[in-house]
Amino acid sequence: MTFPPDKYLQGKFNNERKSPPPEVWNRIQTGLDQRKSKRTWFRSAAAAAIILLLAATFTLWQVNKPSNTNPLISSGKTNVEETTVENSNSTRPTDTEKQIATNNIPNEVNTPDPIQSNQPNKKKQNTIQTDNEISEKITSTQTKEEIPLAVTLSKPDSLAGLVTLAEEPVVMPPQTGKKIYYSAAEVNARFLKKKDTSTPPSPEKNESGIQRILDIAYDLKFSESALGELRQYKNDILSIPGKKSQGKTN
Amino acid sequence: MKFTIYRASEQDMINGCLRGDRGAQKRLYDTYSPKMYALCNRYLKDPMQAQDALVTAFTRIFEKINQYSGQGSLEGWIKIIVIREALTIIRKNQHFRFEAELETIENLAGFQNESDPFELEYLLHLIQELPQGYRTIFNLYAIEGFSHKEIAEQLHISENTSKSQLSRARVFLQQLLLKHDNIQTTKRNDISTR
Repeated sequence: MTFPPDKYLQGKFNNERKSPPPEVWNRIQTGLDQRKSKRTWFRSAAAAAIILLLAATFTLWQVNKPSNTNPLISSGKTNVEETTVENSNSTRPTDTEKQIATNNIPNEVNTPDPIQSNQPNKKKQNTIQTDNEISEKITSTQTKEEIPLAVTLSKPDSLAGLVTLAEEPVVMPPQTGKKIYYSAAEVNARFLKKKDTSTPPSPEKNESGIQRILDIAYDLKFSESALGELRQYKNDILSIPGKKSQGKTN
Repeated sequence: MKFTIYRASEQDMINGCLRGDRGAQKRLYDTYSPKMYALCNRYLKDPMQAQDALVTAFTRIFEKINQYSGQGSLEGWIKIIVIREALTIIRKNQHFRFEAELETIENLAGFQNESDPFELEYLLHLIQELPQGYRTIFNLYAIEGFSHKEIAEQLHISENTSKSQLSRARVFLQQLLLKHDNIQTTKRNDISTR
């Protein structure tokens, strides 16, 4: 007897059936339920982890969030902003009305801000407001004759007064490609000499030393001061020898 | 028409399994488990190991049913998964040996095959008496129809090893058959002399 060929075996075993015991299905069901619960647990754990991560990130971001959004470091913006500057000396209102035309300031760039160029109706008010009246005058004069000023922060002394920005930040042009935007308060604090405009300067401070010496000399000459009286007294004393000589002669 | 009905019910089963419907899973299991359990018994001599392979294979089938493209037959797809699980158990239990002794064959003498010399149960008994390595390669090549290249890839062996083991399995089966035939002949002679 020889062993049958493969095709015979394939035909025989192809229809072979044998029922498995019933506990096999129970084991399959149990395994499926366990895997399902494991999958559910894993998904919920993953979701919780993601939520925790997001919450932690948000919290850290809130903690490390800078209080002042300026200076903004950005690229792609022009580094010049047009401003109108007025003198802040309240004691000389005539000077405030003379707005400084800073077009003559060297190193200035009059490139308009692209953001503001899109809003032509919006007035840039980088003005110094020492009191309400002056600010009203400033706004009125700005609407009539708007004198742009390119604030070059490399030469802050060229500006007589403080520079304040109403809404827009003043642009600091760094030498590298990045631009740093400063608010007006920061510009004043960092680069400009603050002057106490609350109290008007005394007239004595306005007079120079030479003038004061000349005034004293004038007073002495025309006896308009205590020294003048003293001088008169001295002259009276000095006139006595002449009288004595007259007496002797007499 | 029968084919259409069969395909429709099969598609319903697949859709139910995709939804995780336990009833559809039970129907799929009832349809294919007898054939697959017989297949597991051919590869694994131990019935408990055959049941383990069936449980693992059907669990994987229900989880990976979304990967069934629908181009081939569902039965063929299930069969491949069951065979892979059986081979995994064989590898895990390190029963994959290629040596065997003919004298170690048991329970073959008492097997009666007078009506049909190649009765299915008799043939299965003969194959199960093969050593694990021989049996696996014989099942894969002679019954399932895999090529030596595919067998070599599945079992991580060379093609030449697969070919040599198959030829040895055939010789072993032939000797087994002759031995059983001799036993049957002597039994008949004893009965006739009485």
